[in-house]
Amino acid sequence: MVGLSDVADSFAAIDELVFRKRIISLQELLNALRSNFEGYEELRQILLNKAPKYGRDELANHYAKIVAEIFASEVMKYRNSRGGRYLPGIYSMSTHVGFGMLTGALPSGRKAGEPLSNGIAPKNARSLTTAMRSVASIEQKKFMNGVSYVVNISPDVFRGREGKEKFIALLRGYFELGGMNCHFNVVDASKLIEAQRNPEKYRDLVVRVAGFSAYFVDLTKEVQDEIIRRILEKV
Amino acid sequence: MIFDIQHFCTYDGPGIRTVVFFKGCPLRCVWCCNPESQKATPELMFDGEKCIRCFKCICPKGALKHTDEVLLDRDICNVCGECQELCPTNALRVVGRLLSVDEVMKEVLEERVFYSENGGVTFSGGEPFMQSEFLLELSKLSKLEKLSVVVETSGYAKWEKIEKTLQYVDLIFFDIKSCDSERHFVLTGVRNELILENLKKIATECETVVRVPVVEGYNFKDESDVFKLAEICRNADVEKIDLLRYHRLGEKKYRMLGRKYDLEVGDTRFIHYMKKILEEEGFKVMIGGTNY
Repeated sequence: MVGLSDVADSFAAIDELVFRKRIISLQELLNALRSNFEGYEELRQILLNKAPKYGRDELANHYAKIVAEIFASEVMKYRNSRGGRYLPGIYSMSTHVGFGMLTGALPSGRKAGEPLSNGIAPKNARSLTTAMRSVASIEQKKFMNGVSYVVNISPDVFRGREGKEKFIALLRGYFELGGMNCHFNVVDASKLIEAQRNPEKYRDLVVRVAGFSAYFVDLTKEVQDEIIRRILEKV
Repeated sequence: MIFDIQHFCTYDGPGIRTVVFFKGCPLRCVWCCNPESQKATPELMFDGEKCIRCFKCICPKGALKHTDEVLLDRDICNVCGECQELCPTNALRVVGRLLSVDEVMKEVLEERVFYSENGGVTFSGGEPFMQSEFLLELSKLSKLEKLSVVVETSGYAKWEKIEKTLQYVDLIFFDIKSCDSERHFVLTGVRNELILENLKKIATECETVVRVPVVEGYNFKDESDVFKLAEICRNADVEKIDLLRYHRLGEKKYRMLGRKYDLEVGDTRFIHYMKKILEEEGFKVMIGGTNY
């Protein structure tokens, strides 16, 4: 599954703004999405700023859970031609960028063509720990094909013995809550921007993309930009 | 009155912490990077960069005028918060919420799984001791929940307001803004006698780290200031000193509150020299306040 956070945020936005608060009508929302928010910037800002988000608010976390469970149980119903099961997973490799290019505007406020969310990670978390709580609240054991949770974290956090203890506390907490997987990009955004400019100097810089690592300079510009953006947003 | 609660803070005491920011401070430091922490009542912040000029913000009192941009008349505004509901981008935002002890504790405890043995909660501000009853209750409950409790203070409060809370506190970050009382008054609006007196008392009852914002040319001018700081810390039996680098990250927030920020600080290398002197004087010194 690709785009869990986008779907959860979209459902939460519709629920909150169309049905609960009745600030937006469904027709207005459809018109805005069809025109990729052209002429609807105000509406888009409301979707971005006034709606609950996965990784931040209960309502959106709830939708993420529902969506994940429906997907998992649906996939499990099917058999392949040799009778084998299909196994659900939530990881996007780098397809969240590619699929994003083919996906229209969404009620989460995301414009057409922008990247979808990476694996099981929230797009608009309040903090790393609130993100982890939301991610772990999804029943990850239903995804025997695996989930991928990429965390971008500044090298500062690891400084000294105390820094490493903090990192241990973070990991312990996440797995205690039921998390199955997470991987880390420990890098400053400024270094990646520098690597974009001078790739020849950074041939050996490895980053975590989503369920796999890659040489940063070998990635497409779109995937590079997406990684930098996520690091700048500290999620 | 709280102006923010932040999770996953790693620079405000040991372990992973939640920081609760109290609104209201008796000091008015000219370099303050959180101007919204000073007044003890809610305030309306307006971020002109976020504003998309949709002019949906209507004020029931008429404090908002629309020309080719949004103009806010703070003399009329009574911070009712109606405009923030109407603003799509949250360019208009009220800071400061009245929260109950239970509401704060609920948010603090939501993150408990990450606190491990030494993490927990930090009460910061503003000045937490300005709301001493609230602080006492929160500290007591946090201790009951076996969290580590840290308080960041300017030290400017009556001793009765400080005393009763200390038994529930594991670590105090105690600010010293200037060693010279006269200059302290000019830069922060109050003199420092009460503060220095409280430092001695607090440090005998609770582990204390002295934190010093270094604003060169303002609160620390030369070596003699640094030796004075060393003497104050030695007299109070404090061993650890955090030097905090001056930064201008709060500048925009002054604009958002309709206030002016005028401080020009040139050289910021003095802090390293300070560290060297204080280390020679036998203190454990850190720059930036990380990692305890």
